[in-house]
Amino acid sequence: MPLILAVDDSPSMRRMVSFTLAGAGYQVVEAVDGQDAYEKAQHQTFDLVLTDQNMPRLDGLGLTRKLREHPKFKTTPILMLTTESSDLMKQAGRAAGATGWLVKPFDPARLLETIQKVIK
Amino acid sequence: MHAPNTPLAEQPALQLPVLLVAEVQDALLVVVHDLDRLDGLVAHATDRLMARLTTALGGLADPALADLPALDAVRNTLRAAVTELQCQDLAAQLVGHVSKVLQGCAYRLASESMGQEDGEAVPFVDEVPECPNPVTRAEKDGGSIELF
Amino acid sequence: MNTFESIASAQSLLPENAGEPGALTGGRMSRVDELRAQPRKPGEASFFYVDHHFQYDAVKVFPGEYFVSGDDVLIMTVLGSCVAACVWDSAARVGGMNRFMLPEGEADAVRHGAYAMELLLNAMLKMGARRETLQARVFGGGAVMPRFATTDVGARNTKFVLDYLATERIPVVSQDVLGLHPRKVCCFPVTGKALVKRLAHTHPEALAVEERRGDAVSVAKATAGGSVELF
Repeated sequence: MPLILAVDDSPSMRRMVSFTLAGAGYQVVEAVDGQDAYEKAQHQTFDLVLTDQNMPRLDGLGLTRKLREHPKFKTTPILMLTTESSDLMKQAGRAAGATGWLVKPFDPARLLETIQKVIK
Repeated sequence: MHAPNTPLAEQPALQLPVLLVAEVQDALLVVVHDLDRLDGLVAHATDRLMARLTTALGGLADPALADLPALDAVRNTLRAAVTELQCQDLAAQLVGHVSKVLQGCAYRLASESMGQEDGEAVPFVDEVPECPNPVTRAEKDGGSIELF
Repeated sequence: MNTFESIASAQSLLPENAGEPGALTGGRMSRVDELRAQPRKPGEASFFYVDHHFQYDAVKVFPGEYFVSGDDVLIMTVLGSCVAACVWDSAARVGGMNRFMLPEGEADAVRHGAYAMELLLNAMLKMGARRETLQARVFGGGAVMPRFATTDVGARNTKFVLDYLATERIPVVSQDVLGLHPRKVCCFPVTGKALVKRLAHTHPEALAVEERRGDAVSVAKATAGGSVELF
């Protein structure tokens, strides 16, 4: 069963992501910010990371960069899920090594489609 | 809120009654307080809605209902409701931004109008965020997906 | 000079030109002098002065004190981890402010906090306020010396005053509490509004000492019922 790391500082967003993913059969681990996510990634191997951008301590782009430096996560699909939508931010995402950029709010069916497309 | 090149102290100034300044700052802080309450109300309602959604879908997962394809449409509709429920997160971001702006104004007003006693520490003022917030900027792109 | 004025002068808190005798023509006393001449109840603030920045007759409230008025005066204080409740009656148009810090120990804390709130509220009721028309603004409770405090004193004070007001069903219309900054609060009983500014703490120790010492004094006063000497 594929394991997904869902990162967002909003408890309700985490709940909705978990709800949608678990409903489709994925196992989900939640993290409250980039730092929490990175610490959890040290102990587990995730098949996909779905992360918000604006979070305290370590933001989504920062988390992406750190994960890409880690041999375990060099090729793990990392999807950004954020309110940020500017071309500048998306370019930064691409440069940081993100796999894709989703602008909130997500449509559950389309999110699941996208995850199916990129997950190994 | 940015001063141009001349220091603020050297720019033309206005005189305002003390009670008026207090009135304005008070109004700003009262609405910040109200926004906080609004944020709490919306978050609580969303939690309750999510709980009901989960219960409803749980009920529809009953094996006795497995052979009713018409219920698939019901299940999908319920799952799709998560799209609208996310407005709570967007609302919270927007409210948070508005709150920061109002607080910045309130404390800026106070630091400029309240003077300084001998030995008193300098006023500390949070910066007023300048950019429009991400939620406003993203209005037309909500829901978009781009794979790199 | 009373006890609190002697604390103030020891810490050099007296603003410039404080203590000028009434210089009005015809031998009339200034309002500040009139206020100084009046006898004060236990816990009532008594440090009157002229605030030259605002051009206002003013009273400074020290830890454990309160002040209530219906006049056009300024009630002010500087808060570290102490909390202040500014309460106003919109019908009677009287307002007041207290300032307190809870002592350690649950029972002592409740007794002290309730006493501080009752002093303020009873004084307001005596001046014509009614519980139904009261509204509160709460300030302070900052963690101004986070490295040296084992418990968050400010958070404890804040929780107490907010719970107390909720129990008494006095609505809190605004608040600026917690965080890391001291605050200067100027409350205007004639309109019920307060001006609050956050301060960068350059000498948090001085403020913390003042607050702890003031608290000890007011606890002693509350229990002993007499005057207190500081050595």
